[in-house]
Amino acid sequence: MKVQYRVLVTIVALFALPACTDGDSQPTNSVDRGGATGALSRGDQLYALDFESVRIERPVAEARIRQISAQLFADVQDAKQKDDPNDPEQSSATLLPVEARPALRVSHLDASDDVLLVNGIVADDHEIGDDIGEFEARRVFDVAIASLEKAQLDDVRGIELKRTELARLQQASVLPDKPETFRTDTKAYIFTAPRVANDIAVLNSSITIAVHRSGRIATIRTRGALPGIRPADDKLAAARTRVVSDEALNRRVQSEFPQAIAQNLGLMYPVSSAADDSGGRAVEPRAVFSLSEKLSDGSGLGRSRRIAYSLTDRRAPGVFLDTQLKDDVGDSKQ
Amino acid sequence: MTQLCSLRFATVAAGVALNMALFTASASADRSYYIDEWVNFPDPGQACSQGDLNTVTASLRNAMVSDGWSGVRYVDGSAWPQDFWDQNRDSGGLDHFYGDTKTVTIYAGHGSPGTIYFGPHNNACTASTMDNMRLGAVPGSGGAKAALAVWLACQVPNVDLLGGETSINNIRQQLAWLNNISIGDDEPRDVYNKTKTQLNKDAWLWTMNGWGRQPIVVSQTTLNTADACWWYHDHQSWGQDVQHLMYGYAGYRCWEWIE
Repeated sequence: MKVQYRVLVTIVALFALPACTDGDSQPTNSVDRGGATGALSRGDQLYALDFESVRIERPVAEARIRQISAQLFADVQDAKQKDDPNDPEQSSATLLPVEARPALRVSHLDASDDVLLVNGIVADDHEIGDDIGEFEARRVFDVAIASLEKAQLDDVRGIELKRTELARLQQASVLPDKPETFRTDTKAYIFTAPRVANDIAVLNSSITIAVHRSGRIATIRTRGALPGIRPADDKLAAARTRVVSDEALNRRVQSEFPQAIAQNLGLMYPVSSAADDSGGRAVEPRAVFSLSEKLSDGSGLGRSRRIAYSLTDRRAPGVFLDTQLKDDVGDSKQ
Repeated sequence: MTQLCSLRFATVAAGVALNMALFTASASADRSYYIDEWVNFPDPGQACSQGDLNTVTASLRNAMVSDGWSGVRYVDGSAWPQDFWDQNRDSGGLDHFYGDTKTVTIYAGHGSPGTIYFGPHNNACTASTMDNMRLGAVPGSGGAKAALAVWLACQVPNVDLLGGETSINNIRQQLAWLNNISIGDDEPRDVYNKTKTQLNKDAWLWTMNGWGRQPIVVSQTTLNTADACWWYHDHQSWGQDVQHLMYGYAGYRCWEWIE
């Protein structure tokens, strides 16, 4: 089934309009976009993402997935994976593995435009093997991104490689109460690069590639809104001037949520790839905070929520990125 | 909505379906779920007070129901700590009526190692693997139906690398986190939808990471070989009705996590 997508985000390099200050901020000609932290200062220009000015048709998911498969999984896209279909606890005899499972497992979610490709040959590997190490894994990641760029895949548009984050996929096994059986290994190196517009991250928009310790690519996940092409000058949206400082925001969060431990997560464009979220409107970056409270038994911190604040209107209420359904009562219990 | 794309991926789906058919004989095809979720906790100064949360299982439940799953979802005052207590560990336990009566059991709310948090019910605020929980088909367990536990809370599995509380819950597989996290409203739904073509472990790890989160998938077998444990780890698929109930005490335990 073909699905047409609209690009929901455009990179808009904007001309600065007269500053929208409320008297206590000073527009500046020197725009510090904050680099990796995205922490602009009060008075800096904020660049709105204008949904209305430019929309392009986004390639259908199947075309993108086919491209990714061809670029990164050429050796396994048609392969089968050896597998023993016998449940170990039900089998009295061990049968030889058969090549029954497709090596490449694919999923795509329309609502969040979340594509996941898993190379089962290495993702399901739990043997001990050589480890290429973090440095070489990064090289594999860079080559993978370059190949996707060369193929002009939309998913790498707007990727900010300077902000690539590294994590590790670990695996372990143990027989209870038998410490001598414990084994742990680094299974894969995980590189995640955010998509940015005007040096500010787009919320929940990123590409993640896991490089197996063997050097093969284990998984790729690409999700979220894609920054589009730069619009014509007469289609540019307005820039606004930041009037709310980080210090003021920190004070506000602590005042509004005195029980919470707040963490400033930096600036983000709070846009999603959901089609009904486009709205033909310009979206300004927001300051995003994580809020968590100590558990009442003192055993640690509870689950957190995220809230976003305007940088151009200090009276605008904060908006939770995660919502509590107030009229949700669930099922009744007898 | 999850969908496969192109003939290639239809082929992939057919292959997955074929593969799953090969080992569903011993797996449960029971599409049943149990959900407890707390979001609106008592205010400070009241019993069982905690910070309020966003709702994360409403869209998940809708997605499962639209696929033909049946079960119950209790929210706030209808979700009790005793729902996850085992009557053989605490006389007030009700998991044989609630939390251990479905193939997939889910809790959403606050958590800490080995503990999940509720509003007050019969003078209790928590269910704990140390004190009163025993999910799954271990001897002496009431209910004994849950094969997959999804902990939409912080740190619940309490994975002690050399043993620890996970031995109390004889769940075949647990999906959770090792650290303090936030959860997007629809992320649990997205995980479920991905498992229609992905394994639980991949759908969970590659959806629930980011924002500094450390997702973990813990699997268990009654056998004394790591290979057997990894087999189950790699053969659990929620959206394809492949959930292997574990009968008996845990042998090897294996897990993958992101850090």
